[in-house]
Amino acid sequence: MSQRDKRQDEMKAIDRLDRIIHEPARLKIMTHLYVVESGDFVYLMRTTGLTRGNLSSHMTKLEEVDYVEVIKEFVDRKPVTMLRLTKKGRNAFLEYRKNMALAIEATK
Amino acid sequence: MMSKIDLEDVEQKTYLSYFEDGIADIVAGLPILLFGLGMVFDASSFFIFAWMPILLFWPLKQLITIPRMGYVKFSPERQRRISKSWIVLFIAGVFSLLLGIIAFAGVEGQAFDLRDFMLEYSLLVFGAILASAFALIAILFEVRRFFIHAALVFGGWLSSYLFDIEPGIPVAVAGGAIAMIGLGLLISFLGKYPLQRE
Repeated sequence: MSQRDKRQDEMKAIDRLDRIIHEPARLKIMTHLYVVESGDFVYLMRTTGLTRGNLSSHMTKLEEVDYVEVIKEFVDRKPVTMLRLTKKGRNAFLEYRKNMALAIEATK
Repeated sequence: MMSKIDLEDVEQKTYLSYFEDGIADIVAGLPILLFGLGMVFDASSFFIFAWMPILLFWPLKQLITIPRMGYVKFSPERQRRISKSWIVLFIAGVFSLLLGIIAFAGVEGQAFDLRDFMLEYSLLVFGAILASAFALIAILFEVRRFFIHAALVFGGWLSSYLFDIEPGIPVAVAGGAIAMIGLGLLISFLGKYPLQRE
């Protein structure tokens, strides 16, 4: 790939950035869910600094695009609502990271 | 911005944040403190109950840590590493026990009688084993402050030999110091992570 083609590819990466993930609050949610298998609401509220209402609204958006799924589990005989990234969500996050790196290159 | 976020670092910080509560330090320090006090006062009841604070570990985690930090299932890789760490600790424990049994069942009259050595320096050997356990926890679970605990424990036992003082005192001081470190961490943890409001 020539230098020009590479530059063009980097510029196109900006267009390919996933708008759903690009929103800062959702990016935080995706990051903190990516590094674990699953976590509950309290974990996400603490790590993202979002309120329960805000978190709920962003989670709804992420659920709509099938990036996040809600699982009901029993931990020490207590029901806990756990949230985790779907396979699609994990792939989308990795793709976002790749495109973001290219986009940063493009703006250098 | 995103390309510079080190995901391994985020994962590591998430994992280590669950050790910031100092509960492990408290439940590890209290038995040593009680053991030391048992030696000072020559009270067998202290030895019987010394291990009991360990039972508080999980209930305290449930009561204090989880409501503040939330439930997390770590990545499969991290879960494997935690499981391996427990296995290594268990093997090390069994190995120490076997070593003790072999030493005491050793043949007398050898050039170097391990049993005599163990009896002469039993407390020092016990301290060294306990300190090794703390150091192993520091390495396996990546909680580096347990190296300090290892040094405190071994230093406590060693000083009782070096300075010819009642062995229970430095042991109790070491256990108390570990528990106090834990208490300090717990107070800081409660301030740093208030209960999440609904």
